[in-house]
Amino acid sequence: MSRLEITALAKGFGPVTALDAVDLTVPNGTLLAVLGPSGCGKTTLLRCVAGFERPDSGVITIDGEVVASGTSHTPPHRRRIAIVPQEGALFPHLSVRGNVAYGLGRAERRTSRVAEVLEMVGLAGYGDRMPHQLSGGQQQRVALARALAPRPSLVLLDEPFSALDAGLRTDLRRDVRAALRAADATGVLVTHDQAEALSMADAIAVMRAGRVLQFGPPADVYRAPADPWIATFLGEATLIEATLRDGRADTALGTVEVPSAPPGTVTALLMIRPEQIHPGPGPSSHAPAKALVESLDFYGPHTLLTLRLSDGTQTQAQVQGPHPLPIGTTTPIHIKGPTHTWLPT
Amino acid sequence: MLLLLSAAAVAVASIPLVYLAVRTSEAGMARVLDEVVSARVGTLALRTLALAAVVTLGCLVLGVGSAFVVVRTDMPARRLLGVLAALPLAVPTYVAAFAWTSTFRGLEGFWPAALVLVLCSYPYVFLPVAASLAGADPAQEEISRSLGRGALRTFTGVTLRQIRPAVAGGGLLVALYVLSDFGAVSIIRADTFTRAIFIEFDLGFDRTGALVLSSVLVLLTTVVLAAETVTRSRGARFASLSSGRRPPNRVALGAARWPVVALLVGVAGLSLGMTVFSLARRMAVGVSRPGAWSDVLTAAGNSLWLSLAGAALTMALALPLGLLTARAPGVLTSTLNHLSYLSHALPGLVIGLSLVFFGINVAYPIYQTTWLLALGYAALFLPLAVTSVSGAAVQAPPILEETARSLGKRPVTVFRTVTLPLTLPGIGAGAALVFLTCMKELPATLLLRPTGMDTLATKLWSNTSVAAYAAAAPYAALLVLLASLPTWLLAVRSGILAKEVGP
Repeated sequence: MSRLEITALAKGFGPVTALDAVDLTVPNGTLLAVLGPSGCGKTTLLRCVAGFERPDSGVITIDGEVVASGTSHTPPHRRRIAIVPQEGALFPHLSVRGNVAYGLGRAERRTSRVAEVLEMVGLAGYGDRMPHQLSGGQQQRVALARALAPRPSLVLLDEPFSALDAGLRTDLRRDVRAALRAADATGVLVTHDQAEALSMADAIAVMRAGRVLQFGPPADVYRAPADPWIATFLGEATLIEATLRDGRADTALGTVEVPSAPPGTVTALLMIRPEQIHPGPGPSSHAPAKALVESLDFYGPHTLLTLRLSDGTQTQAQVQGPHPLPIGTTTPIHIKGPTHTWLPT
Repeated sequence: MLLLLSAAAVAVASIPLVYLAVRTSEAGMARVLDEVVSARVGTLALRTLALAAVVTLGCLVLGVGSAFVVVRTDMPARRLLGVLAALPLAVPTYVAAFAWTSTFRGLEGFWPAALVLVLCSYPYVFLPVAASLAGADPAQEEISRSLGRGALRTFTGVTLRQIRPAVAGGGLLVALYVLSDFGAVSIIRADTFTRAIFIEFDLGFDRTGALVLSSVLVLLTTVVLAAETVTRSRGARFASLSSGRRPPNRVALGAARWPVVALLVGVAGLSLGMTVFSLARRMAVGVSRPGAWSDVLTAAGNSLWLSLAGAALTMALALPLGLLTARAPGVLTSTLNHLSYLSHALPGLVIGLSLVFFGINVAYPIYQTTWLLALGYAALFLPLAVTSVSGAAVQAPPILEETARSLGKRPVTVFRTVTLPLTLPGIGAGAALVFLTCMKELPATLLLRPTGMDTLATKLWSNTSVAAYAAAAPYAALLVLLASLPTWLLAVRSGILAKEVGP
């Protein structure tokens, strides 16, 4: 469909800076997740793109056409940008069919377009229901169908799953992603849920205090976060300060290989994810580190162990399935895979 | 845009205020001080405020109490009693006052006036409070109970807070109504400002005295409005979008149910029954003969047409201000709102006088037409309409309009297809209320109606003022009957008649 480009976007509300020099690009047919804590400016970003807010400066273009800049402002209804708001916000006085057909022209209403998009979101045959007769998940599906029906150049999703329960969320995420792909839609998803952002998006932009801190594919951002705050915001992480010597570091977790380390001796901050820590002696020749099992959280497919290291540091390890180690035992641990480090600047 | 239209609407409603200011300043400071600084004015001011306070308190107790038992208990026949509690709104205060004084000779003074005003005005509190009790989220009460608070503490700590805006709004309407009421206090001979203004106006050729007293009345209104603003707190302004709200919890009354029913029936008997009984008796035993039925029908037609024009103009003016109040609350908006309340508290007599002056000097083309009277109604009843429009606007949160625009619809189309359908029921209820109030209005109608055009209210007045009670009765009966229709509509809208759904 279309390509969204945002350059040096800035927006303030009185003394509060909501957006500060935001640069983002969303290529044709991909989904960008804007991830950040409440109040980071992600919703303001979405409202600027939709045209509900005027940016103070900066440029927003869709397929090279400027829709907003410091001087010009295309009104929302001429942007062909559809929005899926929080909690759906279906028109309560219209049926499901009325809602979905709302954005269609007179001629298009008579085609099979409504049935087509309802089918796409898995609600074929629900056209005559009223919004209050639908469950929360179904309402969100209708809101998505309503947004997709007029074939918008861009679909904006504003925390669309936050009001739903966990089981429903996973299903709906997958279906929404599939529906967006089927419609070949370019999308921007705003969320504070890292699992949602990582699992759905082609690219992630992490925002804090009005700025984009990091922008890239989900796997890259997860594996190599730009700073420690992003590392812990995206998931559990143990951060340890260590001295790197010839590509390896001696830590309370044992000796860690750091392939990317510069030659010589430097002090650096290491990030280790729970899934990289494994109980049991490792294959390496180094003496394994020891850890005390403090608590176990069993999740079904995996178990999260909270461990206390010999120097008092607390860390977490994620293992497959149930784990036989009882609380209070001491176990050797080792680390698998490359470790991300931040060198002092 | 909305702001400009609102300002224009308030400007129109403020014409009488401007007139008052101009005429008062023409009179000169010495004359004004002479009129205002006197023991009589002080006594009048105190008595008027005391009457407003007593009536408001009475209406709050009666209105909140009956709303609670109708909406939140398992009282028998609660739907019927709900309608009965709303119906006194259809009885003009002067009709009720006439009914009481003609039944109990020598009834006059402060307390009888307070009684009649409470009995006629408590639906102003009952209706909004009942609607708000029916719509309040029961989850909050359940949480309060689960945290160890008893039924009474939950009611005072949670429920009363939920319905606070409705209670305050209703109380304000009552207080303002009492300040401006003319018919009841003059029939029951309670000395208040409006009666004094009328006497001044009636006695002398110089209207300055009456106008200066009116200015003092405007000041009293400002005091009441300021008191209401100080106690107001900001609450959630938009309805929750989430579905699946449960109906409110009901209290089991047990053995207390029949005394409660008896109490409500008693109140309805005093307010409605008294009026109906007295009118019927007058029609049966009166010596004066009613005029031709065609006269009654013509008057009814005129009443309907004038009230319709008044309601239409008022709603048109109220629409921008009501939307502005819901969407962009702020200092400017509340100032505009309060300005519109000032005219509302002016006696219809003063509104009438000032618009006669305005019609002759500024807007001669509409002088002696329906539209000048419609303008008078708009100046009087704008706040009633604004309150219902802003209440209705809550039903259409901005996110729905934004979503509609993102789907490619122009603002005008969005207004027509989303905002209007969602707010229309509430706006309709507001129109019904304004229509009803226009029909009951007397003094401004007397002054502003085109010559020779009689309404039910003016016919009733001219007949009672020459003691032709039997001739007056059919007009009064038809007036109450016609006014009952919009009242019934309002009762339906409030949600108190809703049937139980599910367990």
